[in-house]
Amino acid sequence: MKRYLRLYAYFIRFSASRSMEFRLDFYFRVFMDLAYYGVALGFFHILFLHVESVAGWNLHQMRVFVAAYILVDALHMTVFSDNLWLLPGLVNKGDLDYYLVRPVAPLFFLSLRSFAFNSFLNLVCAVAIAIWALITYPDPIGPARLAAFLALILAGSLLYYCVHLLTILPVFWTQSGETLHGLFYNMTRFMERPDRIYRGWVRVLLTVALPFGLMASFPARVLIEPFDPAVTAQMLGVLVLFFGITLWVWNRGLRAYASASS
Amino acid sequence: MPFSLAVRLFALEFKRAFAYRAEFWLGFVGNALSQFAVAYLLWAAVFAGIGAKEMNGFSLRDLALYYLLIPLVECVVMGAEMSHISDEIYGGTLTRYLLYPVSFFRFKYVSSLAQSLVFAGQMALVAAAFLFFFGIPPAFHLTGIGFCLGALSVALGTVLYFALAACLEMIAFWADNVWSVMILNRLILHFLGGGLLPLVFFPSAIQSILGFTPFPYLISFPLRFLMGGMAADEAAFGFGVMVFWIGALYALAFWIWRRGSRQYSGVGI
Repeated sequence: MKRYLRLYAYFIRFSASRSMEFRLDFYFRVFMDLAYYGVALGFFHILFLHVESVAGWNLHQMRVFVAAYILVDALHMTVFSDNLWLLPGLVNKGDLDYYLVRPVAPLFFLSLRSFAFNSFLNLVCAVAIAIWALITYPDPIGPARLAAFLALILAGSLLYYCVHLLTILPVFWTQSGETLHGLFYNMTRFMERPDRIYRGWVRVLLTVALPFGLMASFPARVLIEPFDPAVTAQMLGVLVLFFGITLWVWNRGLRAYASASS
Repeated sequence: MPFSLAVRLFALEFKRAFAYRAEFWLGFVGNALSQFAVAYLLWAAVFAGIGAKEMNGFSLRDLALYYLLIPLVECVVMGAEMSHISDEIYGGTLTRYLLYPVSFFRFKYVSSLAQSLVFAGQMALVAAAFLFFFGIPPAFHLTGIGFCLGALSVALGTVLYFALAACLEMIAFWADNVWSVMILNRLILHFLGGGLLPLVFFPSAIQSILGFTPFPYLISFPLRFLMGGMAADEAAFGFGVMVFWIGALYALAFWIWRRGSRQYSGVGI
């Protein structure tokens, strides 16, 4: 564990020096994500000029939800996204070989080697938005709820990572993962709306099988709704399930991997 | 550009679009359906919450049609590719266009127009399927003139978007990567063009300001013709603003092109 932490510290150090290589692009990316946050807040602000609540949540509660999905997205973009983006190319060109022969778990190396500093700046902004949403929230929020919120945000980010990786791993068999990868980004739209708008079989689909409805809504719910252990249990249960499936598919993919000729 | 060359370019782009048919249709359906489903489910919850049948002139069925047409109009106006100019600059392949006996912008515009036509075909199919299954929503009053004006606004929208995108993509002459700028452009256009919320929901002061910007004329303006039309003076004002922005952005694009091509070394990065 200590070795892995030390290795991750090296990853961060190397990423820091790489991140300022293309400075203009660095700032463009920061600005792009800030605009994404602005649009998210602006959308609900305008909607709430016409209604008092959406799916049972008022504007203050919706701001906490928006902060939750911005945090999940920013964490994913900072820690995992760049790495997952590069994975299909490594498989297609056979460059995965270099990672398989190293004395480190390849999935750890491939998922974490690049730390996106531009997104880290956005993560800081996302934290600031979350603090603003919590400070302006009219009801008191205890430390236990806040801790549960943060824990479920981390769980949401891990779940996001697992689902994202699962849409990339078919590249081991199909040699082109672009369609599924594109579908993943389309599906992330479901994370950007509160889970209570999903009903019936759509709800089951989006909170279990394709858990985009869980990733940000459930962390928000532990903070703004009366405590319900089922919310935390479902979130953690689905996370464990998806983590297991991801590891299983990854191992099957490695078995199917035929080096440069795959 | 000679007509025969334009026809060949169209044929090539059609072939390219249908080269990977499964990916082409899955990508399109995934984007259009997810955008539609998320918007529809949210508005269904909003209407259920307020217990009303109409908001700002939109019923739930009208909004369903609106959000179904949004991704389709966006595809036609903006096309699928985001980096068709910057990739040539980064790859050093812009050089060959400098030797072609046709204008670079015309060549690229005809290519993107061919893609738009493919999407227009998809749009017609999806709209027909919606009308077949769900019937004609109350707000939908498409007339012959409305259809012609809608088609004209979409056609002008492709020219306007191409000019705007060209200005931004040519930042590639100086910057190492413009991918994020193009994403930012689409994000802002989607929001301020009425892709997330119909513009009538925006505060009236913001609506008035937006009326002078190019954003609403790329998405919301064509949609209004297709869904119910608008007053003649409003339509004339809209077309006037579009023509102004097309002129201004093309002038800017040619200015950037002249400065940028002096900077261009042809080696790529």
